[in-house]
Amino acid sequence: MKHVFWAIFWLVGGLAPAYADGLCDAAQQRPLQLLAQELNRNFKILKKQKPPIYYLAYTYVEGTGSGVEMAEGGIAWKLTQPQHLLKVTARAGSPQMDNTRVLKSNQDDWSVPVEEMPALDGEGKAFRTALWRATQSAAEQAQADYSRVLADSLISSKRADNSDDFVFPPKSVYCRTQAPLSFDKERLEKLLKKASELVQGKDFILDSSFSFTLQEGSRYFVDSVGTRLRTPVAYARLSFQLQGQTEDGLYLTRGENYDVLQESELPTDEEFLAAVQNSINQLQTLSQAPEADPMTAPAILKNRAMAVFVHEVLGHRVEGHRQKDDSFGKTFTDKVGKPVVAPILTIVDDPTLAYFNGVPLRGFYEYDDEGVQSRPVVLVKDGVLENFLMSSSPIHGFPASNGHGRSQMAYRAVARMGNTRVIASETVPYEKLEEMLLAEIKRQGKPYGFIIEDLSGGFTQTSTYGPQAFKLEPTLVYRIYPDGRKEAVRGADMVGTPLVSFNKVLAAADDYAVFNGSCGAESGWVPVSAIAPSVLLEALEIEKTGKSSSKPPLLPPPSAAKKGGKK
Amino acid sequence: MKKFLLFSVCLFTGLALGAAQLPDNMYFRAMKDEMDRSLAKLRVKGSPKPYYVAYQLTEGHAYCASASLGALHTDSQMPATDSLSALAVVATGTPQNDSMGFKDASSEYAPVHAYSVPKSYWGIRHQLWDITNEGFNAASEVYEKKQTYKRQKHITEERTDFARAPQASFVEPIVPFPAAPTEQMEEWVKTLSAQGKEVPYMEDFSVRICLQQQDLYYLNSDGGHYQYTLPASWVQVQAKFRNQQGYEETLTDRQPLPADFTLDPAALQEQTRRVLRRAEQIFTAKKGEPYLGPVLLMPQPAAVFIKQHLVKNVSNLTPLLPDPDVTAGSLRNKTDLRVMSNSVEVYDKPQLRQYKGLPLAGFAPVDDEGVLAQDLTLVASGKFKQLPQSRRSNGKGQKSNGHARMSFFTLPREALTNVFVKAKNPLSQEALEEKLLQRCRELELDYCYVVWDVSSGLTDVNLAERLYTKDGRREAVFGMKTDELGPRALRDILAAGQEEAVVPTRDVGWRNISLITPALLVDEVELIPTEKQPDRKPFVSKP
Repeated sequence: MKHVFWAIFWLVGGLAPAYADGLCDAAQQRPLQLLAQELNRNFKILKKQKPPIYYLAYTYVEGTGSGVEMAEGGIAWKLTQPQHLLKVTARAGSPQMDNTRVLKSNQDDWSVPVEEMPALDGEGKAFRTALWRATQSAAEQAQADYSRVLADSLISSKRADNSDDFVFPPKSVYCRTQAPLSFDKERLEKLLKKASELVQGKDFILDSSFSFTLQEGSRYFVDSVGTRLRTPVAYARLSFQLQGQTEDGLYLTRGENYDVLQESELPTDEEFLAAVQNSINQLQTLSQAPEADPMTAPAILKNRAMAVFVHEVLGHRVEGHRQKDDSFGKTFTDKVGKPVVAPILTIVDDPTLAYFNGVPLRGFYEYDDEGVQSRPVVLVKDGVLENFLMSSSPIHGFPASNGHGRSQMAYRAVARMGNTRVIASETVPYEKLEEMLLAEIKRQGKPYGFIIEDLSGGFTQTSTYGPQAFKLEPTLVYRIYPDGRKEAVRGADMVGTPLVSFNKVLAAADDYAVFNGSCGAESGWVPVSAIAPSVLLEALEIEKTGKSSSKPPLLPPPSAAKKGGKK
Repeated sequence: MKKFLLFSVCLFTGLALGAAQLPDNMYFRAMKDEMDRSLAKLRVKGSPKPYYVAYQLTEGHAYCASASLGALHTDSQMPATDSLSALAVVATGTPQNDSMGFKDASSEYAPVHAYSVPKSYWGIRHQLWDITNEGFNAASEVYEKKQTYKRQKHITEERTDFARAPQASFVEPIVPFPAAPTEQMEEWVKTLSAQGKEVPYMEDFSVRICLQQQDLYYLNSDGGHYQYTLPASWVQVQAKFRNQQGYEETLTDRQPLPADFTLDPAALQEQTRRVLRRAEQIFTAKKGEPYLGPVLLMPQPAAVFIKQHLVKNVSNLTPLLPDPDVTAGSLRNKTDLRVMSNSVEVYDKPQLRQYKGLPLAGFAPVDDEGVLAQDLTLVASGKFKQLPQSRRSNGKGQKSNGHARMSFFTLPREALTNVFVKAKNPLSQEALEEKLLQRCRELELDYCYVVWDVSSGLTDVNLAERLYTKDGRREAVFGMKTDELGPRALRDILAAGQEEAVVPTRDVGWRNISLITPALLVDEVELIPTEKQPDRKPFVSKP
């Protein structure tokens, strides 16, 4: 067994953000100058209103989104969309109680308006006028929301955690730019076209898409505390998705995403086409595979599946605001200092990591969406819960943000994950883990165990209205028999409860891998990553996947029915 | 009328009746091949097979530039976009008794559609396959529900659901979307919108120019087909401000651009000035008070009036089962009855492509059931003469006149196209105002109204002018709305003007139409103040 030293994590974490090259002077940035000027002018008056606007922030994103999607050899869409978007955050009342408090008597709406801004040219009058209009509107909305919060506080029961609604973030000044992302789009378009033609003639593939998307630009942030930030926005993804459906209504999907920042990080044409072909083969296998039966058995969660598992089952439950809001189940609220997962596991959320093993991490950021510098947060150390992910909404025992206040542009920030890392104190080679699985199957006398190869996502129930359970949707599952034979099965969902499931981890492999994705929650969709090794679970509960009531199309796809002729 | 005839003759060059050869391109090959396969092989045991399929492919192109207060918006930096979408109509059963003409609460009466259709032969076929399958499943379900309903209601009369009709085609080469004069457009939107900077109370003043074009491809299984280009470009000027009384007001003026995409700087400037002028009037205007009496609707408000009270009520004339069908036009049974004042006549001109240099949005030479579209005299001498009909118009003596139209939101139903309201004795603006004043004096009113600007539903009157009967003095008024106008108001039209507005818009089924209307003097309109309250003064002064 290999022993991974705890110190290695800090070393890797500390080395990652080597970005000194693009540093710039915040004071010289024209957007920051104009944003700050208008913020100061407005805040001076707004803070004297009744109720006062006691905190004001502007988030301005200047960038371009572009992409192309292909299917069956044709372009489905191709777009280049520049964006100049503004979000105004206005807090009315006081840090003790403000307009953002979640109402006890009603469902909260986390969305906020986003303004499309005119170009910032010339004397910037149009830009400043648009800022002024958006600020007026946000201030009026904040005051109206505050009055609802006041009314709610009079009629609702006492809050279990009566912490303040806001803690002022520390003042930060930081500026970094990044060279424009450069990709050979012509080559990629040709590659996507070629890949999209591989599905033709396959009657088990009912839908497919092949895309390359790119988002880049700069994010500017100014607030009434004095924070002035400019940070780059850069994401690029090459991906494909294949979909099939069995006669009994079960949807099957296979696909792959390649998150990159440079051309050199992309797969070669041959690698990409081979991955598509591999997924086609897997989909064919799955379409003929037997359906899974509900049962509990030992299982291996492969690295990327484990990464999703940790994100869904533990990660969301250690987001700070969920410990405060009485509508949540608070699985871990009172578990600080207590064991919550198997002692071989340490779990850290580290948004400062830009890469892991040469793979760019989508969950990397330097400052969160509330202007707080990101930092690694040890959530669980050797199985014991230590921390929560914190935004600027304090909770009992955790009075300040740890740089995890995140949101999509059109939402208010709450505590969210960035790069969630699972670190095992003891690891074995993956082959050894499979041997251990076989031994465990025999020990338990089970007819077979499971290998969860891939997981697309799922959901975890955190509200008090439902059981504190999760249901995850693997996209590729194998049964493994005591003799080592593997058989793909379809329609297997993973279910369980968090406190039980994490204590079933018996061992981990040394094959850390990255899952890059997007996570949706109250504050919208944010890019995230999760890194984990494959793990052996003593028991995993599998249940049948829900099926669609609609049957597959009556005729085979056109290209599978007949190829040839004039096109 | 001569003008119309000339245009119609020109257009017939691309028209053909009977089984014309399909255009030889990727779009028609994909539609034909998938249609043939579906009709031959799409079957479910125990359910009727499809007997009729129609597809429409729409390739949309757009390039826009916009600016606010002299600064460009990001859409100006977007390259021209294009997208392909598809619609499918699938009918099962037989023409005598089929799956169409029925809509219950759980279903939409709309074609199955797909966006972002990949632009390749197999990509198009794949999407058509997908939506045909969905359309067939839906049709099979609706067919059963319809039969059950007919049995329950003892509907036994023998009326053909979908009549045969000679099939037509209209094919012309697709006009490539031109390279947009991007720099020129950017310069104009910047310059025009910068004029708002000089107005102290203006909070936003934006100008947006959009060059747009739709390439349409249609084929049905009876052989009807069309292929042509529909230009749909426009300029929009919008002003946002708070008037002297503290009300937040938004004025929007959208005008179509010529079919050849030419931009006339003088026309753009005039449109901008018009919005600024109206904003100035509203800034100093009084809030209106309740009023009942004659109103002169200027051409743009008159177009809204005609859309709301005439077009809507003569669309979708064949009611869907089950009864009653609230979506069916309420004037459907009024043939030869007096429905409108005889001071105007109304025509519908589907074959007309342009009018006064502007493209007509309702140009539809062959309808969405493959029938040659006929021009209609809708109203003459105050009576309905010809109503739009489709292959589903199954009343006594009815047969299609090529007016079945569909959109993403409705299967083919009876609809108008380019609606012309023509005054029998057109009056100049001065004569119309004099007539208005004269009528007000007869009614012993202190003042009457000229309505200049309305929101799309005619419910909100953004700008009106009081004309005082005593001295002809004018006074701007804002914050009014019309109260309970019905189709009866069509009979109250006293006179119509000479100047016309060409207004591209959408009808109740979201189908493209154009309204060509003069100013209309309506004898009795009730205007009441809106309930809107003044908005709070901004906390901080404008930068």
